[in-house]
Amino acid sequence: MTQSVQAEERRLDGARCEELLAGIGLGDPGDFETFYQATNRAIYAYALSLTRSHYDAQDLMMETYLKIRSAAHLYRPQGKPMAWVFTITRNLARDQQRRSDREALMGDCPPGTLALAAEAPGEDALVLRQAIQVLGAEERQIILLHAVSGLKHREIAQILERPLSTVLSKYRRGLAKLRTALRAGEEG
Amino acid sequence: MGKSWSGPELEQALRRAVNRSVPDVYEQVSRQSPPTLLNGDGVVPSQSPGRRGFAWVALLVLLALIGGGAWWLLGRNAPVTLEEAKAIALEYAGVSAGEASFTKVELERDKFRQVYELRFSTIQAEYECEVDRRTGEIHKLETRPLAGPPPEPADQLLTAAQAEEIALAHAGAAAEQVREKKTKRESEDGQTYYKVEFEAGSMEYEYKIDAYTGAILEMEWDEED
Repeated sequence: MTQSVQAEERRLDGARCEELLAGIGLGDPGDFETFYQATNRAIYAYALSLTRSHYDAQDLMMETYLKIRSAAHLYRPQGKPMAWVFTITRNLARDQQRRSDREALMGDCPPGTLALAAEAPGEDALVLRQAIQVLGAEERQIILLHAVSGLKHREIAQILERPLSTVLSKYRRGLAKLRTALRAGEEG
Repeated sequence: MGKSWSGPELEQALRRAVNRSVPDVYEQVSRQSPPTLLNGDGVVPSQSPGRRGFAWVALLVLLALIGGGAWWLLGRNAPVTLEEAKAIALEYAGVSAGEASFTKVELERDKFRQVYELRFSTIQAEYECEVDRRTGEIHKLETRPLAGPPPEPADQLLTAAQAEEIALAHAGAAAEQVREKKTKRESEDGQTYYKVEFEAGSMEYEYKIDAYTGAILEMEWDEED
């Protein structure tokens, strides 16, 4: 990958993402690469919050980008390109769940099935592992989207189709739960 | 006694962990054959310009205007309540409601936004926080320890580079992403600190780092204009 692409702004600028989607719709590989660089962390984080498994999240991420490439021309600019992208990810996660007929996605996966790439010891990896283990499905999605994609609570509320007050309270409750779990882990 | 995590610290830890484990699927996706463009009836849409193109542009502009208006109206109608703002501020500071007493609760308005300005204190520290009324976002969090540490001998003064390292690590910004970095050593009320300002991504950061202990005294971040 080129330096210029690596240096490209990684935060999700709505207007820029829309331009890139338009370029992807016309089959421009450069626009796809730039879009990938700007969104891969956020899409992975959301996929991880849905699947709770690094490997399922990786598959989901790949399917999401394939779908973006084949459907970008159908995107109609409304100022919310990432809401469109996350809807694709969520729908694909549902398909994946139906296909595999597992209960692992979108909710109550037994902690034993958890598989993360961040197996290396380290405080950050521990926080992520705890977040995936102790948070409820929506708390996980809200906290990871907020932390990684830089989306505001109001934007997350729209993506998840939940009221802002619910998103805020789940965010708060999730952070408190995570903090308690980390403290218990240190003391235990 | 375990470490007490603040909201930004937890978020930054999650961000760094995700950044480290995000898989690279770019090559796999780009190796796939060029996609068949999808639409409702399976026909590849025409890209030819002309009157139809103009009609689409006009329609999209209209949709954008309607969308923008609806967004504005929704934004106005569902603000964050004061109680929610207080809870958000406490959560970010990592302070439980029982420990804190609020000394200032004001709603500031300007042309573009409304912000709750909150001040609260615990036995150890005083906090100042700004919470956006529309989005619930934290614009500012300042922490001042009430019982400061005893003055350290001057030979333990941190270097400016060490202070920068602390600020960058806290913001989760890699050195190569950072622009417009400025660091100054200043003293105020007998406290010596480094003021570290920089930009990374689309954000502007300002940190005050205790020049002796390396503790973060204040941090403020905002989106660039």
